[in-house]
Amino acid sequence: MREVILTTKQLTKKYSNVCAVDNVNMELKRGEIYGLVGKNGAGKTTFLRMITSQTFESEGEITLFGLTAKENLNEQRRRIGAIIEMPSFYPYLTAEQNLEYYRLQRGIPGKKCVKEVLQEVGLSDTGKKKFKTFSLGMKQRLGLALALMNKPELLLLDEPTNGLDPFGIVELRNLLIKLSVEKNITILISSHILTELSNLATYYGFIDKGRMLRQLSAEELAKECNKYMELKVDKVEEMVVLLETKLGCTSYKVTPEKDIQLYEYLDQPSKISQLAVTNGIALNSITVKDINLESYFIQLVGGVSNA
Amino acid sequence: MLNYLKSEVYRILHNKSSYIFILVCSFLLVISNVVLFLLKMNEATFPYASTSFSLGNLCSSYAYVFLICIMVSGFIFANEHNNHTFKNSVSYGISRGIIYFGKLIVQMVYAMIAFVLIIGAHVASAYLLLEHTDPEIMDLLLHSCFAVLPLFLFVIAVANCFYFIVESTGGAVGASVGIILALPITCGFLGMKFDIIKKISDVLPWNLLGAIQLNFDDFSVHLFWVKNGYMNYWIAGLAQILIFVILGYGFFAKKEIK
Repeated sequence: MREVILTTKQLTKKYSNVCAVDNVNMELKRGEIYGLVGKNGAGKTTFLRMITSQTFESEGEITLFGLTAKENLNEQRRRIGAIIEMPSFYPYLTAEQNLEYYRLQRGIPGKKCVKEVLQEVGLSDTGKKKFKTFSLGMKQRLGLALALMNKPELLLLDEPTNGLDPFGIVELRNLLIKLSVEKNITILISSHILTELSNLATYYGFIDKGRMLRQLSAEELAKECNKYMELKVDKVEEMVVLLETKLGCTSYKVTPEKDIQLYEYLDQPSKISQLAVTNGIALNSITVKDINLESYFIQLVGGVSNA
Repeated sequence: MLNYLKSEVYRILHNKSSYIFILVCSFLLVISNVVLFLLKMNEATFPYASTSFSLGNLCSSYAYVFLICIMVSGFIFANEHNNHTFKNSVSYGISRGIIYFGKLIVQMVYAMIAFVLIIGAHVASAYLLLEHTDPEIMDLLLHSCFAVLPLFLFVIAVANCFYFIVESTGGAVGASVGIILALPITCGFLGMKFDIIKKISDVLPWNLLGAIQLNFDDFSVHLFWVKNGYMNYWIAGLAQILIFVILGYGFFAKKEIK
């Protein structure tokens, strides 16, 4: 069983009357890439800011590498690399000087790690260019370089693709996969764009209005987003029995609207319609549907107007 | 703490402003001596081109240093709120205490080094360019510096406190000026009416600075307290530094980092 490295129990953040994060329970296991998905203002950043001590929890508890706040949680934060909101550095220093400043501050031995990490994120040729003249993409890369400099076991990334061009996004995704596979770095990454995480995350958490709506693995999500056949029939119970007994179907769901969502026989709709007709069941409609990730998310948060 | 101090020193050494400030202040003071020198060259009987006049003038100008300390604190603080750079330190588990006290120590050390260098440049240029008169003036300078040093450090502590608490630089400067200048002046007026306020007003650093009298006849320094004056200036300065350090840290320890 994989080690749990981050746990939150009923983590809550209140700002006067507003609950930015509401009783969030989550577990992050070593090696996972956890995608935290939510629209803007859902509470993703506040959640990450509590983990990194930028803000304090109103209620609840954070356990990091097995230790809570009472047991020197701050010390455990040295095993984390984080980019929360926009990467921020001293504007009058170069990329190398900024990283050297934090290397000294963090007591990381050996100057060469600065050059190595700049090389890793593709910023080794910025020379004397000051941070204030960097493009948004370069700033994101420097933020990532800082997060990686201490060879973290856990990487917290808050919307890291903001400002990156499509090539940059692909590069970042590949880099994160590489870090996860080769260095076994656990990653908690937030985004308001679910598809951005679709080829990356191994586990998902959906957050809205501060509440964690759903947590599921990538396999479970793929299953829920699979294609299915929607059957509208007059005798739902009888149809279900027929599907099970005559066709051996086990993968189906009956919705509250009394529609049957069948995840099998998708390429043989005629077989299903024949089964219904020969057994005296009126088949009102038969449609093959699929849910894409966006639709799944929109459904989860309660419709387009809310998403 | 040591690592934090090292990183701050690295940052200050790589910031041009750190050098520009010392160079500009030194340049202005040296220029004042050059002007005296040129006037003497122009008119042989010019009476003020002397070390005693130049250094005496310097001793009478500590009030400017008092206000410049707010600026020094500000540029060493490095606009951390607007740059959003605190979050990189806090996220890594560096405590708010280390950040607060680290910044304070660095500001005080930088201010003292800058003070020594600037005063040193002034003294050196005075002795190079001007007529050497009344060697006792150096004693006066050193004694008065010793008396005002805790008061300057108090200004740094107050400014540091407000730079941490107030996110806008203008707001922090305004609050600092309020405590450093407006409060003692107001207390001074109220002290004319209420005795208790007068007692408080007397020991406020701005008023302690104003109470320093330099006697250029016997080159002696007269402080607010006749007996144990220097020690009492340090005690008053350090006690008030402590108040603002505790206040600033208390607020910062609970402050959200953006």
